[in-house]
Amino acid sequence: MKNALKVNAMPVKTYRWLKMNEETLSLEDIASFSPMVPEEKLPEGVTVVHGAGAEAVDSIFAAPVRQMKEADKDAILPNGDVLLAGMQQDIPTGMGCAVNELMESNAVPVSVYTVEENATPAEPLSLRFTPEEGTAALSRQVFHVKKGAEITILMDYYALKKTKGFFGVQTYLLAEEGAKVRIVRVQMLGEDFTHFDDFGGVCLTDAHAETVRLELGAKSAVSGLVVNLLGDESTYNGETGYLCRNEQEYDYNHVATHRGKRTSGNLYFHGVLLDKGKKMLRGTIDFRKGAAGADGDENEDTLQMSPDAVNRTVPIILCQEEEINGHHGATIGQLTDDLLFYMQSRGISEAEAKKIVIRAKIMRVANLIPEGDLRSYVNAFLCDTL
Amino acid sequence: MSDEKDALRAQDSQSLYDFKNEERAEEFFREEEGFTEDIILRISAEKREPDWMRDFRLKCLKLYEETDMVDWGPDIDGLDMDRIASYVRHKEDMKNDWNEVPPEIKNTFERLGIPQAERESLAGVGAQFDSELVYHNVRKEVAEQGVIYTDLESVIRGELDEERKDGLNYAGMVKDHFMKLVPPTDHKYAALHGAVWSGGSFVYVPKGVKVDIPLQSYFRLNAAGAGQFEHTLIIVDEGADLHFIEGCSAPKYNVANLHAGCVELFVRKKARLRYSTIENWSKNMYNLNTKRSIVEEDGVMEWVSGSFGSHVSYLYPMTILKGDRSRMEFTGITFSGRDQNLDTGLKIVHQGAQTTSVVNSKSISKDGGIGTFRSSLVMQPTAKKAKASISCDSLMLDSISRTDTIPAMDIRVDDADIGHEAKIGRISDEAIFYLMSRGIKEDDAKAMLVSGFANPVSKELPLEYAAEMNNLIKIEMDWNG
Repeated sequence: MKNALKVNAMPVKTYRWLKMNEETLSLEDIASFSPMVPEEKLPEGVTVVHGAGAEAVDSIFAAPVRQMKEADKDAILPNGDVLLAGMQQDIPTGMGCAVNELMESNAVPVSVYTVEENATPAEPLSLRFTPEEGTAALSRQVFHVKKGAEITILMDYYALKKTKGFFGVQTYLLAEEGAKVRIVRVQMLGEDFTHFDDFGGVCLTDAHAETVRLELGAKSAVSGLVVNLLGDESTYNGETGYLCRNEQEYDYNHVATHRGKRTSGNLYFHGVLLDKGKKMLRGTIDFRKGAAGADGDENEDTLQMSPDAVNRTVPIILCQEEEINGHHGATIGQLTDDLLFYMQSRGISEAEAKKIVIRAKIMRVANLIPEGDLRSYVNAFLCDTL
Repeated sequence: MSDEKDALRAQDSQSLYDFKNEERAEEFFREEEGFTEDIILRISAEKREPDWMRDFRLKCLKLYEETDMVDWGPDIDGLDMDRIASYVRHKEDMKNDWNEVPPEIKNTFERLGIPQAERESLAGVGAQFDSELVYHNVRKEVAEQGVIYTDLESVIRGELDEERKDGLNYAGMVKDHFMKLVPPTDHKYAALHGAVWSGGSFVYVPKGVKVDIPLQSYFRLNAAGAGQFEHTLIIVDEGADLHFIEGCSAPKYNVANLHAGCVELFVRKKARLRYSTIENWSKNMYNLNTKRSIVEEDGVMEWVSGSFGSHVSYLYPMTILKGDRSRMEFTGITFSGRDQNLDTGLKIVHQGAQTTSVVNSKSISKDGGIGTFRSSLVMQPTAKKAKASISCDSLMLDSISRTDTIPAMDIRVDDADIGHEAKIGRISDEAIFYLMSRGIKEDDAKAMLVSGFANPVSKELPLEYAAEMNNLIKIEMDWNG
C-alpha cells in the first residue's frame, strides 16, 4: 500500500515554489482499510443498492462521460502540465485518480441511491457516518437523481472530540434533466482524525445542484469537488464554510466546469482561521468551449484572526468561450477596529465580540442546513468549541 | 477613426517593426550556435572581464545544464537551444555620438524613432543591437547631477571609476548587486542569462536626485536564430526619483529567436522608480525574461507594462516590499493574438509593515491567441497591517482563443487587508450597438472599446509611448480586417 497519495491537483499548475499545485495525503500508520456503510434514513421515492462495484458507477454515467470526452477532443488546453477535470478520470472528481485507485485497491463497495423520476420526498435522505476511534474507514456512494426529482441529502460525519482515526468518502452525483438536488454535508470528526472527501457531480439539462459543506473537525481534512455543468441551463451553487483552528489543516480543490449553454455556477467560501490553522483553497471556474451565455462566480471571504494562521488561496478562472461572464472576488481581513469599538461600546468584551463574529461567519453556511437534528448538532459543536 | 485605420492598413501593419537589415559577415561577429564552456570563455575574453565574472558565468552554465524547465508554463519545444547563437555583435564599438553609429544600425533606430525621441523627450538613451550596446548617451545636465547611465561591461572593468574618480566604487557596486536579486538558481533561463549575458545598462541615481524626464533603453534583436541576454541594473538611491523606459522589437524570421534578459532594480529609502515597458518582439520570439525589484522603507516602485509581441512569453515582474511603508503599483496590459501564447503577470512579496501593493492588469485574447495572467501575492508574518488590491480584467474577442487567470495568494499575517477581483468577459453588445447607432462601423466600434479597455495602462505612459501602444492595439485589432 502507498504511504501517501497525491491529491487535489489544481486544474492548471502555477509557480512550484508556492507549493500549491497539489496536496499529499498521508496514509502512514494505516495497516488496513475497512469499508463503511452509513446509518441511513431513506425517504419515500429513494431506493438503495449496497455492495455494487465500480461498473455500476460506469454504467450510470456512461452517456454523460461519452458526451464530455467528445467535447474535450477539440479543446485548446491551458499552459503547462494540465490536469483539467475530465482528462484523467472518466467521471472527474476534485481529488483525482488517486482516490479511485485507493477505493478500488481496497475493494470498497459502492452504495447506489436512486431517487425515482419526478419523486419529491418531503423528508431528506439522511446518511450518518460515525467512524470509530482508531479505525481507517472508506465509504463510496452514488446519488442518481432521476428526471424531475427533487431531494435534499444530508451527510454527517461525526466522531467524539478526543478521537483519532482515518475516514475517507467518495461521492458521485448524477442530476438528470430537470432534477433538483441539495447535498448538505457536515464534518465534525475527532480532533486527531485524518479525513478526505472526494466528490464528482454531473448536471444534465436544466438540473440544479447545490452543496452546503461545513468543515469543523478533524486534524487534517482534504476536500475535492468537481461539478460538470454538462446540460444547457444547468446550475450549481456551492457554499462552503470552515472553522480552522488549533493546528488543523484544511485543503480544498473545488471546480465548477461549464460545458452547457447558459449554465450558472457559483463557488462561495466563508471561513475563519484561528490559532495555527492552515487553509489551502484552490477554486476554479472553468468555461469550456460551447458554454455560451454561461455565468460563473467565485467568492471567498476569510477572517484571519491569528498571526500564526496560514491562508493560501488560488482562485482560478479558465476560459475558452467568448460569450461568458466570469468573476472572482476575495476579501481577506480581520475584525475591524470600528466594529470592535462599536461592540465594546455596547458592553461586549473583545473576546466575546470575536466569538460573536466567528459564530456569525460560520452560521452563514450553517443556516443553510435544514432545521432538524443536524443543525442542532452543529449549534452544539460551535457552542462547545467557541 | 476610419481614415486612421485605412492609413494603418496602407502602411502594412507589421512594417513599423518588421524590417530587416542584412548582417554582412564582414561587419558582424557571430558566435557559433549552442551554449558551451568554450563559447562562454570566448564571450568573457571578448569583454575583457575580471576573473570573478568569468567564474560566475561558468558556474551559471553548470546550473543551466542541471536545472529542469518548469512544468507550469507555455510549451517551448519549438525553441531548439542548439540552434541559438548566444552572441552577435557589430565589429564597431559602442558610440556616444549618434553620428558615429554604423549607418545600417543608425537606419534601424531612425526607423524606430529613437533619436527623435531622445531629442524631444528623453534624458538619455541606450540602444542595443543584437548582443551589444551600439549607442549610449545621457544629457549633460543630467550627467552633471551625478546620474550614471552607461553600459554594464565598462563599469565592471573599472573604466567608469577611472573616468569619474568621484570616490564611489561603481565596479564594486555592480559586483555587490549583479544577479543578487535574481540569483542564477531562480530558474533555468536565469542561469542561462548569468552564463551568456551581454549588453544592457547600469543606472545609478545619487541620493536626492530627481530625474525629471525619462531615460530609455531600446533593444533590437536583428539577427535570425540568435539570443539576446541584456542585463539592466538600476540603483535609485535614497530620496531619488527616476522613470526608466524599456522598448524592444525584432524583425520576424522563420527560425526561433530567444530573449532571456534580466532586470534588477534597487529602490532605496524614500526613492521612487517607474519602470515602463512596451514590448513588441516579433512573433518568432521566445521571451523568457526576468524582472525583479526590491524596495526599501517608504520607497515606491511603479511598473507600467504593455506586452504585445513574441510567440511565447514568460514574464512576471516581481517586487519585494522589504522596507516598512514601501509601496508598489503595477499597471499592465497583454494582447495575445494569432500564434501567440503570452503567459504574463507578476509576483509581490510583502515583508515590511504597512506595505501596499496595487495591481491593475488587463488582458485581451483574439485570433486563437492564448493569454494567461499568473500572479502570486505573498504576505510574510512581518508584513503587519499590509494592504493589497489586485484587479484583473480579461477580454475574450472570439471563441477560438483562450484566456486564463491564475492568481495565488499566501497570507501569513492576521491584520492585512486584501482585496482581489478578476473578471473575464467579452465586449458588451449594448456598447457596440450604442456606438453603431451613432454611425460608427462595427469594427471601429470594437477597436474603440478595446482602446478604452486599455486606457488605464496607456494613460500611465508618456504621450509618445501611449500613442505607440494605441497604435499597437490598432494593429492587432486590424490584423483580420
